Amino acid sequence: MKPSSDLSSSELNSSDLNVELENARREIQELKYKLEEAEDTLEAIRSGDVDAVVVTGPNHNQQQVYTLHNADRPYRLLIEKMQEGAVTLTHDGLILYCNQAFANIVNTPTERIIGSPFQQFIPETQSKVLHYLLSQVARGEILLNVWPESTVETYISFSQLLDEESQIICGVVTDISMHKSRVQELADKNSQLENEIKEREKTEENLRQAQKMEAVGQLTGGLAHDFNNLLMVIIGNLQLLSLRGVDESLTKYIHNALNATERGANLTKKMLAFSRRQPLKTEAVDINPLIPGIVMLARQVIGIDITLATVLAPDLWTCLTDANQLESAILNLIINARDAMPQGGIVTLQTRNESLDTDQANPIPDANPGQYIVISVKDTGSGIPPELLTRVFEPFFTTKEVGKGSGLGLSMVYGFIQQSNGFIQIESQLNIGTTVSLYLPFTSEQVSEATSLTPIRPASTKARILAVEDDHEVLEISREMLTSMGYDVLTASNASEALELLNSKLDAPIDLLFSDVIMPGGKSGIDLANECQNAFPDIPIILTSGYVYQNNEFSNVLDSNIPILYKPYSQASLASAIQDALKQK
Amino acid sequence: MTDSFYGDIETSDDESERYMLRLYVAGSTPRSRKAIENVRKICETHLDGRYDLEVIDIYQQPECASREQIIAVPTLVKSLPGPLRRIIGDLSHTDKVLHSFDLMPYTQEEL
Repeated sequence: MKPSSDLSSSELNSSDLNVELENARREIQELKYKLEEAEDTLEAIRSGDVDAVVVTGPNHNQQQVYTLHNADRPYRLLIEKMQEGAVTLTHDGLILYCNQAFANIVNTPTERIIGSPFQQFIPETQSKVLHYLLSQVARGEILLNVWPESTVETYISFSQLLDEESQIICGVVTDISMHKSRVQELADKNSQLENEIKEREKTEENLRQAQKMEAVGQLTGGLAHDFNNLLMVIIGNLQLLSLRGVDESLTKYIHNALNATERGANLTKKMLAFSRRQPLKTEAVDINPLIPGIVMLARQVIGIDITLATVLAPDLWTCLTDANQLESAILNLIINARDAMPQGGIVTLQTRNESLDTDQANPIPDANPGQYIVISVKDTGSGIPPELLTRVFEPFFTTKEVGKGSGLGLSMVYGFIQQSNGFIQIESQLNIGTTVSLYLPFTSEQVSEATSLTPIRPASTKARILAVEDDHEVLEISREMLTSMGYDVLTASNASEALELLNSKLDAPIDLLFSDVIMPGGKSGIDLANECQNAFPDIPIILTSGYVYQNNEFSNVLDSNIPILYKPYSQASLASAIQDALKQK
Repeated sequence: MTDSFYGDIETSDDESERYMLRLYVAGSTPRSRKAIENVRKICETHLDGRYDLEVIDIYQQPECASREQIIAVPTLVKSLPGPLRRIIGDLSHTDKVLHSFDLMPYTQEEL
């Protein structure tokens, strides 16, 4: 402080003194405080009012904390009471301390643990793991021995306790067996899900395939129906032409034309067969007796380079099928087998019984569990590549050259088998061969005696027939056919017209109603038939169609006992049907 | 940080002078807890928010103890406003603490 120049020397001295006095006072005050502090500290230590005392360590830059009384109690309690196991070890693995939880994990009393090497508590297989964990002071999974004879999966976490004298390692041990089993459960569930997804995908694929086939089937069925109508007209006209007695020189042309129409009719039959709309005559059939006949036919077709062998099960069950269609199907398969072996080979025809349970049936498309009679045709040919296997049953699909195969054979077999409530299994290995197995359902019905064909009889009585058909040309040809048989014919082009005629007063009554099923104008042939039956129960009815009904479509047609004549029909079949119907009158 | 017992840095009491307090404890013992509770109570009652309090566990930070020449814990250190004061114990003697903080002068007799 700078003295003011205005003050006198005595005043100066006085203020200096005052300042010094003030400073001294303050100093004393401060000293008092310090003293008080020191005394308080000593007193507190003496009376035990402190938790810990801080002392400079031997290195002079470190502090040691000396704990008095129970200052570390909470920590000790934590370690003792926690559910995880805790251990302290030397860096060699000698256990210096363990808590009760660790003792519980290894099921050994603490006094037997402390002082033992940690290695004692692990199986041999874990030595390397322990060595790694200790030397790296790391964390990881390790198996521990549980007295007496089991083990437990644990997770151990080591850390270093830095002490200037020795290296102490402490570890926390957690039992993870629950956790592991959960993880395993999850993994199992996951793979189960994956399997289910695969199953589902396979099922969807099968469904897609079936839908595709169904769509194609409908197409071919519709095509066949229209085609049949056309064939009807051609065949009818040609037959009438030949009946009218033409020149000998011209008959061969008529016969050529008729032969072609027969081939056409066969073609539509195959198409209908694929679309499963062909009439089947299912009955109880014993297959083994049919085989010799099939073999005889087959030998004529397959040539000398191919050996045909048969392996027939002695107690073959009876199956439910159409015998004629089955013969065609088997022949078809044998012909395919021949075509797969242009250099020759062996075709084996086998019959056997087989029972399929749910697990066996599941992976096979269209297969239901049950008992089956299996007919298989095996060849030693080139085999079918896997990518083509799913397509072989498609209609018009063929690997043969143009002109050498219509591609309808297998699709026909497929359609027939489906209609018989069976299924086909096809297995093939490239360059080794192919086996096609037809599975037909078992039946406990007895095989009945074969019925003989009834011969064609000419018209015995003159009768009046009402023919109903919406296609004008087909109607005309029907009229011609009926007239040439000696019947009196009335025509109508739809159901309403027909009913009008039935109800009107005529000079002579109508003796038989012959109607197409599918007609426009709101009423189908079935409706017409029903109304006619109700109103005129004495009039027999014959229905005709180029289209075959299965199950849900027009099921009442199948249910009723009205006979159905399928187009294209020959004059003989028409005559026969009419006579049978009139007979019942 | 130097303390000056000449009080050069003394400022007037009423203005917003902030108290800087550091409480040293040893882990979580009953005494530590009491000290913490008490210092909080005193601060809230008498310092009216004009304070910053740090609680240091000497097990976790032993070097801090040496810096402030702590001998035993619990100890409360008032570093601001100066002069520096140290109080040992669980701080249940509120009067002593307040006096030490210059918030309540001793009577002539106590001196």
